[in-house]
Amino acid sequence: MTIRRRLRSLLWRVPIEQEVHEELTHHLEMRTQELIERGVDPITARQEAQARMEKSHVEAELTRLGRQRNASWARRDWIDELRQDLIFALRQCRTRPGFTLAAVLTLGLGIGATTAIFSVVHAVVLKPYAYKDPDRVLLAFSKWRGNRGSWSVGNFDYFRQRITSAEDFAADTGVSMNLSDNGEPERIFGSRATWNYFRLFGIPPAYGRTFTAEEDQPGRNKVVILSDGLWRRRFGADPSIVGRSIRINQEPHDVIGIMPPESNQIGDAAEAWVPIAFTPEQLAMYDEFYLTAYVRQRKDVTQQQVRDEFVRVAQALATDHPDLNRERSADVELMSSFFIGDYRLRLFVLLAAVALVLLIACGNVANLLLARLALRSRELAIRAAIGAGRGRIVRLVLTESLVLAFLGGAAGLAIAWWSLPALIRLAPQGVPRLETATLNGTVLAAAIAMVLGSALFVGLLPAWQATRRTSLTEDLGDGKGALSGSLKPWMRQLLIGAQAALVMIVLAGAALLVRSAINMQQQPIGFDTKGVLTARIALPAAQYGSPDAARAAYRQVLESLQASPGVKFAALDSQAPLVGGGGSNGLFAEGKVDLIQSSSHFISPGYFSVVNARLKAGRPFVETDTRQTPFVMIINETLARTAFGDADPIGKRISCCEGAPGQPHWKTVIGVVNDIKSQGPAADSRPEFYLPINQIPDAAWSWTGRSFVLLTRGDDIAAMTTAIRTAVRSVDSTLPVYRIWTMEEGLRRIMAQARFNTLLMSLLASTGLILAALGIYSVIAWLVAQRTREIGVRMALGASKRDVIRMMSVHGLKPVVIGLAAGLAGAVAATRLLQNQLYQIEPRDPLTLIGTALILFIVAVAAATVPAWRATLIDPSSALRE
Amino acid sequence: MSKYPAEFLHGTLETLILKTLTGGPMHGYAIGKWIETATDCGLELEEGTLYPALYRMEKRGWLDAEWGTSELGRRAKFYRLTRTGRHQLASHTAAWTTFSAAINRALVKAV
Repeated sequence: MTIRRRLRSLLWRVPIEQEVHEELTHHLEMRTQELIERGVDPITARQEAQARMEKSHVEAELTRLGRQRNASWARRDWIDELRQDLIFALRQCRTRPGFTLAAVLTLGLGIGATTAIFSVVHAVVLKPYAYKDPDRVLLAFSKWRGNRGSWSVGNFDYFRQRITSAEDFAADTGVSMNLSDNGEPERIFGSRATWNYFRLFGIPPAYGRTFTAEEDQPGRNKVVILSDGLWRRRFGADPSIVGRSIRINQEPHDVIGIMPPESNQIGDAAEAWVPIAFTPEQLAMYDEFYLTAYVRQRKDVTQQQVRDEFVRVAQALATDHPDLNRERSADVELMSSFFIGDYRLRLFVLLAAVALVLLIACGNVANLLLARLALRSRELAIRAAIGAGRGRIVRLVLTESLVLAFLGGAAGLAIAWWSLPALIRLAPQGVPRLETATLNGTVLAAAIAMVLGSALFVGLLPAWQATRRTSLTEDLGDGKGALSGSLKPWMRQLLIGAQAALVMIVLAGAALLVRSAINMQQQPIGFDTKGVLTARIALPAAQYGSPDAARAAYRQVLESLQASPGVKFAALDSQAPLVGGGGSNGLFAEGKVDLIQSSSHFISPGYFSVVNARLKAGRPFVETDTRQTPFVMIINETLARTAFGDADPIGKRISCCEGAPGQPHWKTVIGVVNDIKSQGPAADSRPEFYLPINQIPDAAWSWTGRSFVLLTRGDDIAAMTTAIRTAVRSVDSTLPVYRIWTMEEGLRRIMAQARFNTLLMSLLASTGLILAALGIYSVIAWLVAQRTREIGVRMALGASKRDVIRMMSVHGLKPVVIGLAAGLAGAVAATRLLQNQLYQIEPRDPLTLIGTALILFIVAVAAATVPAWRATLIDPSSALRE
Repeated sequence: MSKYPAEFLHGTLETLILKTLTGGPMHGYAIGKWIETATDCGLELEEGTLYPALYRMEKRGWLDAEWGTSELGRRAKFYRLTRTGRHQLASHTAAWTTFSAAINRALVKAV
């Protein structure tokens, strides 16, 4: 039936209108004839038959049905042919397993890598946010001299009373808390937040409730909300914990709610929240900046209107409190774009690089397919001769590439499924939402789109090539003649040229990242990480509320540490390098009006010996620098330059940290220390000042939460770890010690981001390089196979091996050189995207770009020479006899 | 004109067409005549009923059509039964037999 229908449709397909008309005309004649035979006169008979036919409107009805019928046949034919092509393609795959394996693995690698990276991009950048209406949630910044920063309580409260464009204006600050309940005391990372914090984000609690306005008052704030993570880890996911009381910082707090896991996606992942409950004293503090502020803008205002209002209120604040806020302004930014802004670009660059490698892989498979088609030119010629149209042959070739692409896609999904967890594990800390990356529906859809795209890329040139054969005799004649006659080498040369261009771009990007990683590693950081161990402790207010008690406890810990075996030096710092935390203060130099925002370090006298910083001038602190002796300060080079220019800072006076507006509290600069890059080598040096721990104002103990970093230097890390634990336990056995890290670890963690990107780009670039080298190799090898006889003749006529090698490799290298030139131009345009990931190197660094092109050229020469050299092994006599 | 309601006819028409064609290829007019004769109760098929049924059955693959020459020496479209059509006829016939027997029994009992 199928064959009959196909023959009919091929041999006599008439337009449907004609078919219907002819059939009905015949019917009409038969009916007229019948009526005449019954004795009706011919004219009446004809009229009667016609009237009856018209009454039934059958012609229009049949035309419609006929169209439907034809469409349904066409569909069925199409599916039949597709099935044939699929079966044929699969049979082709089976009969040449080597070819199939090479093509599927190449595509699988490309699709797999792209899928894995895409799932990361999707999770981090593209996926919608967990909180309600993310396009109305903004971060608010307090700006000082154009730099965005945190808020002081006084400033936040001033804004809170005046801002009208926000539905909610909330703030929080990260704190560490001592959780001592049933079981080990534990240090957790928590957050103190204003009561409307959760309402602002619109995430309802999983159990219980969130804060009320009344609980955000001093004295009534002993309530806590737990994160999903802490609740599962510490309380066994027991919902009845809600309503019970747990001890935080030695004080009982009622658990009022449990947040769902999504709440971790807001800013820093806190494990517990308590109401911030500003005291009247805090509300009057305008110069300690540690709050992060959030805005939910009203539905009827634009982000620009919110920003304008913040700037207006900042101007009012500067008028009301000029001494601290004269140079302050304010700004807002969409929270989602603030957190993923940098990652967005990085990840898209990575995705683009992966896609380029996928294209290179497609180029290789297209190359393989072209070679395969050349071998099948006779089969294709026969198909054309027995009536296969161009469209049919194009479809045949595209079906083959589609089958290869789908097999490659399956391999790619397996690769992505296997490599995604490794990718997440390898990635640096702190990439938002990275852990949520999975192979979900969107990612699968993207993978299928990649499969279809690859099929098109792989099949297009071969398909076009396949329709270009015109001479049947040529193809059916000598098989070799067919190869050289109808398959033009330029097509394969175009492919390797394009591959060279793409590899050039990816490789140049990788080279730039590698060079900036090296630059970063060689950058002096101003301190010595070797043999330094850091750990943090915090003294709870309940027992150590008085500064004397806290000071005494720290002195005991330090003395005990210094006496421990394995510890050469020990010291304290309120914010040690690479550890994070700490605060900043506004300070001003005597005789100057400018306020300088500067990071504060409250240190014990031995601190500079531990981190091996150099005192550029003056003296270090000594044990006798106390509240009873003259007030002293050590500053870093950047602060010295900012405050005093070229003048000698020793003996100059700076006011900070205490006193009142109009009543400066002078401290004398007694030393200048070299800049310490506490945020890692890539960060700029900032103004920093140091105060001796025995001389800090009483209020500073509560600013820091009585939390200090213990630092020890020695050779034996294990001994120092024990020493720190023992020393702390000997003072107070309920104190948890947390974040015991070596400084080297801290440095590695900070460099992890740069290293991760460098590693991935290098992996991608080397994959691309290998693929492109394989492409060049296969093209030259194919050319050699083509011209065996010609080479034999040339060698018989006296051509040297060198001549043959040159002749053959030039064929392959010409397109590579052109491709490299194009790639160089592309690299110059594309590496701009890496700008913010580069360190002390320009995106267009000529040395890197030219060096990359050179390396690529050398690889291409090697890939071309091997098969060209093989050509010289041809025995002229046997080549001629062939 | 039919003495029976149109819906009643419609369901059985396809079966009748299939039955008609077991004798060999026929053109539309002949199929109509044959059914009118065979049912022998004045059942008269309209063009508007017969031809759409033929086209639908052709689309479903029960019938196949080709051009031939009719008894008038004219070009005409001849329908023939396909293998699928034969299977359809068999199953329709079986279903019809069961159905009509059931109806008969019911009618007789009612009387």
